[in-house]
Amino acid sequence: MGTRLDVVMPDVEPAHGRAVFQSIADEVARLEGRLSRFRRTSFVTRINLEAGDRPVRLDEEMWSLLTRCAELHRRTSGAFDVTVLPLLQLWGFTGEHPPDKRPSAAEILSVRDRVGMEKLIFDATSAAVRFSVDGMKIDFGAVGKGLALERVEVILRESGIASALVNFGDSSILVVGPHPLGGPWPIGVRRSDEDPTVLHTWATMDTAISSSGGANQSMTIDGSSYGHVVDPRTGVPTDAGVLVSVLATSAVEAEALSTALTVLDSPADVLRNFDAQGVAVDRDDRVSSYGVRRVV
Amino acid sequence: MSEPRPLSRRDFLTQVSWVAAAAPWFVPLMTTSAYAQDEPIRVGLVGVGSRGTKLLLHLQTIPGVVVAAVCDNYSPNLVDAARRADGARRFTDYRALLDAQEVDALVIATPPSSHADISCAAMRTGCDVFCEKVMALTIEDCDRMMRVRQETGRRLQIGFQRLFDVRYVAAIEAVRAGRIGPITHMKAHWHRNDDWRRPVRDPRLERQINWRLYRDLSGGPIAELAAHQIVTSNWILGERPSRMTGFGGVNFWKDGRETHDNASVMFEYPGGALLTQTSLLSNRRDGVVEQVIGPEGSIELEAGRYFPEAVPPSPAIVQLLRDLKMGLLRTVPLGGPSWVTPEGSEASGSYLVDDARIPSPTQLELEVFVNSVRTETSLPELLNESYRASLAVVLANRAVDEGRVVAWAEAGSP
Repeated sequence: MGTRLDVVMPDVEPAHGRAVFQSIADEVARLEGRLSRFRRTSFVTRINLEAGDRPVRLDEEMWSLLTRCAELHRRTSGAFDVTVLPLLQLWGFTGEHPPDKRPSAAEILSVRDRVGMEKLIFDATSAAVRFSVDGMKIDFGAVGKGLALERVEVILRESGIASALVNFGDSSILVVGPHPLGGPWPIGVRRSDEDPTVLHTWATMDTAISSSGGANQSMTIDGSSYGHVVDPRTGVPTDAGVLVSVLATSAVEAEALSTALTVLDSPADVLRNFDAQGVAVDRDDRVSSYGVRRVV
Repeated sequence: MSEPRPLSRRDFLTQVSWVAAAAPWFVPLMTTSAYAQDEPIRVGLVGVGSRGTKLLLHLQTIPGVVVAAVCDNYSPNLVDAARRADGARRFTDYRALLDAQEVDALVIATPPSSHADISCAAMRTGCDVFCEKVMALTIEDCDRMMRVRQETGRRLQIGFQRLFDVRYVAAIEAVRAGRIGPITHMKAHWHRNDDWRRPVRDPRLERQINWRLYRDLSGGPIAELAAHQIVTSNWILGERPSRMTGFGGVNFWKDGRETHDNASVMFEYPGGALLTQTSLLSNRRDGVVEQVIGPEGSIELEAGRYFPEAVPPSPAIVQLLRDLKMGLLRTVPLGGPSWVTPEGSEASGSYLVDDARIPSPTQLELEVFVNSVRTETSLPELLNESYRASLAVVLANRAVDEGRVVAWAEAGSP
């Protein structure tokens, strides 16, 4: 998944810990093999290659994930969208060279025609999906780590691990059980390793944190700095200085919400529909809280 | 953007006080008498072509050094050097220079075939000698230089400037600190894309000007290029090769030259590590690279960059583990934007020497030489590295010429 995975399991016998970690690593690798659009043989690659021409039948895991994403799309007023990839490509956020100049409004509109989960045609009878517009693409990049964390949580609980912290590249964190010294784990949110000033602290226990911001993946075009999240509704990237962090009981929802909150004008209205809390930090480090119930 | 300011000597000595363990030949730089300006050191230069001129310019920046004589049998070079070294006497024969007895030290930058004769004559007349690498083209000549040095008690330093490169010293520190694990392999190449020729105005001067292309004057790319990488390999591994082999020939610049335009040599060390080295004159894309490789990481010496095999741990996770061990409950600054596997850092590594404004290795080697002359300090470790590398070059060329594996024992040296 292009990042590192840390699993901290205090007070676990080392051999057992190694076995649990191996199970986790295997599951993460399996999921990546299915969900990565960079893998030629992944399920996502197959969908992207075939769903424009004909319905692609999904297995239970893929059907569950895609329909869940569609539901999150609706509940976030369209701000979370797994079909946003063509816009990310237009802006050069997918490894291609960034454009020399800002894409024109006409270019953005043209690409936006190929974006939107409402343009996916689901057939519940055959558990199949089809693109209603040519050139659509699916990318689970904004939610894949959340799904992996949910699977990791199952492995941890089935392995009898009562207390653990799982960190997927700092942006996706899962905490299982209490801190070894009791109570929630205090997890700070900061802009980067290089700037570790804590801007907000979450009290986490049996919850997931997802953070999103441009510090590590921003780009500059024509002198303007853009964050790597593109609003699927407008086709325009966010301010690179904005950092969003969400605490939720569901890791997948935390992922979807951290992306959605980055582009939403009224985050509180959306967060109200979830068992989640959020903070947004602007480029001047001013923190706005949404539904935060407990501050450490 | 302006060029970085070179480190001041004080900065450098402060920063690299740890150098002495890995490179004891730096010690003369750290002595207080090193820059005393009592008696000037009178230096003569023999061979003032491109390398010799570079040495001349460096010498002129060292306090207390007077370039008293320049010598070359190619008049344009001699005229140019005399113009740069105001007041220096001109000679066309090194023997006349030595007979004049006007210099304390001789700096030699002639073709390697002449190193032994000039060095030995200089030491016998009481001069200390700085001689460009390699020592000589035969084991007998290398041994002769060592023997005369021993008999005369003069100082003999060979110009392997990589031994004075702070990045290499930092690499040794990193290796000793276990950052790459045990060294399993050294990989080096020196690729350029030119015919290695200098323009010749008179065909009778061809061999004199283009000495690198003729085997009785030069050891070819193995002596001129690979030698730098062999000396660092020996230095970092702390041993000399036990045997060597290789291939080489002329496959592109078929202009009558006798030395290789491509060569690939392999050295096996007693500890089991290998050095594989390639010299090429027909493609420059890979340039000059020297890698030290181990199971935990690798180091690119010439760039001073370190490439760990494993992804570095998150600093916040490191803090969390430490807190858990100490029974501390405090906020861990972990959450934030996605940490992306650093393709950039895989490509560029992390720098071992913080300050990129490192001193010129050539400047340092000459300062060490001058100070060792002034303080009458011998640097046996430095000479030993140079001697072992020079022998390895001779043996590697022999292996290529004869198409066989050559054992170190053929050098007749421990």
